[in-house]
Amino acid sequence: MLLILVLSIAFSATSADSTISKLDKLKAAYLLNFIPFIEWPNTPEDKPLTPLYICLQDSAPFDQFFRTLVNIKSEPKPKRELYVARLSDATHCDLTYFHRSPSGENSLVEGSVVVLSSAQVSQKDATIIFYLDNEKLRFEIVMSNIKRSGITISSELLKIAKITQRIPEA
Amino acid sequence: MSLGKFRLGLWALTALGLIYSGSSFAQSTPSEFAEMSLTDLFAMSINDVEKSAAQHSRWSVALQRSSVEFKGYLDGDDRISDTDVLWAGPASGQPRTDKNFPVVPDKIVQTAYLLSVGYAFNDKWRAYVTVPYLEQATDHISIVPNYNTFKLKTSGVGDTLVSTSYRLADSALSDLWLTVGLSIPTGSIDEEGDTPRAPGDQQLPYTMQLGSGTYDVPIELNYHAKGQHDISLALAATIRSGTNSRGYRLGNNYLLAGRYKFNFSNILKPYISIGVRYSDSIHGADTALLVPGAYPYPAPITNPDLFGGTKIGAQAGIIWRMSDRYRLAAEIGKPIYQNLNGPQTKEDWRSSILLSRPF
Repeated sequence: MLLILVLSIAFSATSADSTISKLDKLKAAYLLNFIPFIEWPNTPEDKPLTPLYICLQDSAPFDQFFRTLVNIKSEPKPKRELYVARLSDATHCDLTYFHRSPSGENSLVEGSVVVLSSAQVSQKDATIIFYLDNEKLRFEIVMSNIKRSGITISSELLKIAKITQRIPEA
Repeated sequence: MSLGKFRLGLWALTALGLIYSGSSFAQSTPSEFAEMSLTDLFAMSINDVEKSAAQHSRWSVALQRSSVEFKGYLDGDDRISDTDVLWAGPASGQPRTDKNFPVVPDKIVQTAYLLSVGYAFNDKWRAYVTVPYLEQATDHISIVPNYNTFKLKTSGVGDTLVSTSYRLADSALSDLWLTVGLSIPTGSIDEEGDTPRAPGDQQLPYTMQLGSGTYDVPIELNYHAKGQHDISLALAATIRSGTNSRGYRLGNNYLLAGRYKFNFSNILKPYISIGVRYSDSIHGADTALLVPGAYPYPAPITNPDLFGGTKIGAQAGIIWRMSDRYRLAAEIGKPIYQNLNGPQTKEDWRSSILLSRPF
C-alpha cells in the first residue's frame, strides 16, 4: 500500500520523459538574467509592478524548465511580476524567445525584446542572439532593432555583449 | 541491532549514495541555474557543462566506510541497564528468566568498507557491483569465571551485491529510479571464537557473522525532486529467501527515508535526512548457539526472537565537490526513536564517509 502511495506521489510530480539540454538550460538562465538589465518603453514609472509578459514558442522541455526558473528565482527578485506564456496563446509579449524561425507570429513581438536561440533562427526584429564562442555561450545585441523598439539596455549588459548594428547573415 | 539490519542500511546507503552523487553537482537542477548570476553564466564553459551531462563517464566508483555502534539495552522502547539484562547467577537468588542472561554484550562496533563499481549502459539503465569488507568487535560481560569481560572480533568479506537501476521517469523537476538487486552470500556464516560456552572456539552468534547465508533481494524506489527544494525520498526493502546452511534466515528489512539538501553553494552541499526502518526477527535458529536446559540462550544475541524492531534515525551530512569528477561525503546519524524486540542492544550512533567518482 505504501509502495503504491509513494509511486503515485512520484509519478504525479514527475512529468512524462522530457529532457532539456544543458545548452538550453544555460539559455533559459541567461534569458531570466537579462530582465533586470532591460527597460521597456511601455513601463509606467508610477506602476513598477505591471506584469512582464515572456512569450516562448511551443517547446515543452524548455518551457517547463524556464517556468521553474521563474518560480524559484530568489535573488535578485525581478521588480515586475513575470508571466510566461506560449507565443501562440499570447496577446502581448514584452520578451519573446525563438528557438526556430517563426511563421505568422511576428505581429505579437512589436515592442518586445526578441531573443533568438542562435543565428540559425531568422527573425527580423531580433535584439539579442545567442552564439557559441570558444566553448562559451555568448550573445550579441542588435543595436538597430534596440533603437527601433525603444527599449533601453543597461551598460552592464552591453559591456559583456557583442554589439552589432544589424542582424548578421545566418 | 543485528548485523542484518546494519547490512540493509549499508546497501540502501550505497545505492542511494551512488544515485545521489551522480546528480549532486552537475548544475542540472533548476535551483542551481536559477541562482546563477549573469557573471556566473558568462564564466561557464559550455564544454564543461555538456561534459557533465552528456559526455560523462560510463563508469562510477565509490569507496565508503560506514560504522555503527550499539550500546545499552531496550525492551520495546523501554530503556534497561546492562546489569538488568545480566543474570547474577544461582547463588544470588535472582530468578533466571527469558529476559536475563549469563553473558551480555555491552558494546558492539561494526565497520564496513564498501567498494562499489557502477556502469551506465545509457541514460536509463545502470548496474552496480558492491563488495563489502566487514570488521566487527563485541565487548561482553558475563558471570562465567575467567570470562567476566571479554571481546570477540571477526572480519572478512561480506555478501556481494549486484544491482541494476532503471530510470522510470525524468523531467526538469524530478526523476524516479527503481533499483533491484541480488545479494550473493559470499560472507561467512561459520565464524568461530572463544566464548564462555565451552573451551576453545565455538560458533559465534548471528551478530558476529559476516553474511546472511541466503540469496537476498534488495529493492529500492528513489524519487528526487530537483526544483527549488532538493528533496529525495527512498523506499527500500531487503527480502530474504530460503534458509541458510545453519538453519536460519535473517529478517526482512524495510526502509522509508527522506533527505533535504541545502543549496547554499555549488561546492559544499549540506543535507539532513530522516529514515524509518523496520526489521523482522530471525526465522529459524542456529542450534550450535544453544545450551542445554530450560533457558537455551546464553546471551541475548543467541536468541533469534530478540532481533528486529522499528527505528527512526536522523542524519546530517555534507557533500564536498572536490573536483569535476570527485565527491567526498561525510554523514553522522543518531536514532531518535527505537522500539526493539528486546532485550536488545540499541543503536547509539552511526557515521559514514564516502569518496566517489560518479558517472
